[in-house]
Amino acid sequence: MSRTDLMRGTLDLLVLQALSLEPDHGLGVARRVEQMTRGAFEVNPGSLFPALHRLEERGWLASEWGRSESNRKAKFYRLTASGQRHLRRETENWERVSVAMARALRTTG
Amino acid sequence: MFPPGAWSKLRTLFRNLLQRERVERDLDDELGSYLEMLVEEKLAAGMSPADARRSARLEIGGIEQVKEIVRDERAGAWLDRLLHDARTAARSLRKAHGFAGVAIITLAVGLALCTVMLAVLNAYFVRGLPYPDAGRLFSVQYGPSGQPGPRGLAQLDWSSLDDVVEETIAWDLDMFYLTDTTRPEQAPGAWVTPGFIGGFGARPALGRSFEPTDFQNGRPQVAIISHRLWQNRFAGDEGVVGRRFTAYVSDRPDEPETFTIVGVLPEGFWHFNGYTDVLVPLRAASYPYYARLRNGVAPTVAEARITALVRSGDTGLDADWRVSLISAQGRYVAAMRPMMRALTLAVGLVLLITCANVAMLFLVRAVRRGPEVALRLALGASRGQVARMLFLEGLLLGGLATVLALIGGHLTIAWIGPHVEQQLQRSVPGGLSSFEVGGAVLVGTMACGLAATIVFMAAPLVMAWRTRPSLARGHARGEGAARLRARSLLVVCEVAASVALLSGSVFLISSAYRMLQVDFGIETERTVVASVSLRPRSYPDSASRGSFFARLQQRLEAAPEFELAALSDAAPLQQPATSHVERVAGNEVVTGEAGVTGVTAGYFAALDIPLIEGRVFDGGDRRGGEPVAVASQTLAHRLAPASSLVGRRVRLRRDASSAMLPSNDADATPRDLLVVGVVADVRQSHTDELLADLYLPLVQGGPRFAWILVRAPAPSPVWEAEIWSAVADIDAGVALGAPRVLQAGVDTERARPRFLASLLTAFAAFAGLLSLLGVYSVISYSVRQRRREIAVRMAVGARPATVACLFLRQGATVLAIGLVLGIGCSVFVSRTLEGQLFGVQAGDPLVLALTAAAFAACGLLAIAWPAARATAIDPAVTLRTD
Repeated sequence: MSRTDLMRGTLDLLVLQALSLEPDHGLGVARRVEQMTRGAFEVNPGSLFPALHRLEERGWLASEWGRSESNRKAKFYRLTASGQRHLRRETENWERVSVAMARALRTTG
Repeated sequence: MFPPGAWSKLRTLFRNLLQRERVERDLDDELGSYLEMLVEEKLAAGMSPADARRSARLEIGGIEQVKEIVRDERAGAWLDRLLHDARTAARSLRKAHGFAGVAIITLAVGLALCTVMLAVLNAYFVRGLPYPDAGRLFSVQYGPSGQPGPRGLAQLDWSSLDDVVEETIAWDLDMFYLTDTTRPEQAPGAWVTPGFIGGFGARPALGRSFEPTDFQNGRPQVAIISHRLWQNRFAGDEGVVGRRFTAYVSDRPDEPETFTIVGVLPEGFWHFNGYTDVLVPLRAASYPYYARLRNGVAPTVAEARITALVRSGDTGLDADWRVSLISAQGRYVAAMRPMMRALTLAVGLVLLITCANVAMLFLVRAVRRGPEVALRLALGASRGQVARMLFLEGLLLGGLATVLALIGGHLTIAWIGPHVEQQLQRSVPGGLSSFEVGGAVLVGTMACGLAATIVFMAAPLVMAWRTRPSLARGHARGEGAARLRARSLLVVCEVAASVALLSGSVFLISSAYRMLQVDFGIETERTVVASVSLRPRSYPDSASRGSFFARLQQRLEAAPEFELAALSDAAPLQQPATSHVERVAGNEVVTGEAGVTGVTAGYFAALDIPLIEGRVFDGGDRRGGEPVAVASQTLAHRLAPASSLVGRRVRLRRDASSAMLPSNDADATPRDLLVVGVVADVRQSHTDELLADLYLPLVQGGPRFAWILVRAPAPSPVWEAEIWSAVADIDAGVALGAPRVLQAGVDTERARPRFLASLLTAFAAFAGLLSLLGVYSVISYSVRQRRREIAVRMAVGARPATVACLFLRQGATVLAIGLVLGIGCSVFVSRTLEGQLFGVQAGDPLVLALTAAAFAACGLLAIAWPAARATAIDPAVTLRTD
């Protein structure tokens, strides 16, 4: 399997990261995540939309209706202040864990 | 304060639940625009419009599924699902309204009983007495009851216990005869200590409370009156404070006393003895009956301190003598505890039986619903989901029944409230209005409803979980058998509980019946009694009293309204003082104990006590004549077993215990009396075992108190007026009690057991009916289940009797197990009724056997009916259609 199914927490983090530059709509977020992971992750709507709604309900994202590049009506998501804090915190966590994991795997392997 | 994100979660929860349509539309639009953008992307990549659309749809993979996943992710999704399931459950109940109606009503009746019971328990046992810090109020018991109390109690210095006891409460009940208007009135009141006001929170709503000077001798008498008296006698006059009234009190009956009203009690003031129309300061030395302890003082500590104090005043007390404190609340309800225990048990049993019945209804329904459930399972519903639906149905049913029960309970309480007070012979603490479906009762009923739901859903849920219905018609045979076993088990429980209830009610009915059978030996239906008391100042000696009573007797006899009239110094149906009666026969002395009553000549005729031998009193037995007596048959037999007592002399000797009672007869020296006659025995109470009685001529004694007994053709208010005027003709200053028909006292004594018996009988009838229905339904279900088998048996030549026997045996087994268990429970139930029973032994095997036999007979009928139907099955028809 070349493409990895995304774990829920990982997807949340990636979506937040994707929106940290500028607000975007669902398709934009999906494409940006694919871009950021160089196609390692494919984001399908069945996991993207629940993630977006979940994050919005937690207060980390906010949404409003706007116009896409092709002037189509679309719902745009942006990172809120608390979403930014959460992203920073989770990124640090992730880095610490991944460094530790990498070290651990290196020593035993 | 809040976990992070809690606020936004709460906000979205509300949005999701309240603006469902907008949220849904939003999601719709969002996914739509996503699809369009995806199509645009593919067009830009060079696909044809049709290909782009198809490929985009494929990529999304089903808009509805995506929506469903998003919905599941939303806050409050579980609530959504629950509401959806509840709607489905409600629909399915509505569809089966016959089943639902029966189940709800059955359960509602059981729960309504619960509501009423909880309201009674709450009003009397939980809420406590309506006094400030009522938990610190204790009744003070000076040593074991029934023994003479310690000496010097009134002289003790209670202020030395100031650090333990906050208030000492004493009162002296009194009847105040208010005479200063044209309408004389008796007002029950009390002489009270300052602690009474503080301890019971009797603070006036109008005017002032008592002040320390009010308790000093020689100061003008003051009074606080009740709201009732203020309204009735003083017409709610705002200026009543400062007004005076004149009253005779029974302690000092000779001179009227004048009281100045200083305060009026609030309308809601409640006191357990009800003697609160007139409260006046108690100025005599007294000792507390009740005490309010200081905050944080343990009753045991106070008991020890009070005991030490009492010992300091009476050094002659036994080493183990001690004071005990009983909570005021506990003392108030002590007498009704056994009855409440019995009733609570009965209500619990009825509720259990209704639960068992509803459970059976669910099991019956489960069979009918088999195909539907099978379809659901086949379509991918999990067993958990099916069970959840079933439980929601039960919950909905239980909820509806609870609501109905609360309404029913509320109406019932409004209706039976006054009767409950009367039957319990205790007024509701805080007044009738606190006997209601309030917060605690509401919560309690809902808890009972929930508990009942869990109980009645247990069997259906277990059955639903264990069985796997297939879509094929006529599914697994084993499953039907399992359901039948479950239902048989429920019926066994029902029968057992019903028999227990039934035996309880039979015990009470036979007890009430035995009470009715008690022959007092006197006429009670048409005899009216009224008490007369003479003032010592006007009637200083027994000679003057004797002549008053002689004149009163003549005056009453002359009244045309009365067929018969008499006087006695002890009220009939009340135990008279007892004495030792001796007869010297040769050189041996025969003694016996006997109740001694002073009566006038007409007494025996007025009460229909037949003369057996000799004569009754007549005009010749006057004061100064030869002292004579009439003996009851039992006494005569005891004193002269072999011969007649008439014409012999007996000696009357007051015994030590009766000498301690306030003496109605000043003359306590032994007297020799000539027995002139023997009359039939009478009973003074239902439990009276002392049938030995000795009657003396009232006029030869001359007591201070006496009772007027008159008989008239029919009861009428004229009696009362005529008695008043007869007394007033001789002396208007004589205090007369309210006349009452003798039977009223008998009825009161019989009322409580009869009340309990009728309540329990109603419960038992309801329960019995339900369980017979249960027996019936199990057999009739079994008949339906085994229709094919019966048809085959009959087709190969089984006789109808053999077929019927099949079911009779099955039903009889269930019934028999239930009966055996029920008799076991009955022994327990009847034990809680001990003390409420009269003339029948708790756990009497004969009563138990008869109850069981009666129930078995009804049960066999309930079995025989469906069993007979089994024999009517036509094999040809059944085998063809099934």
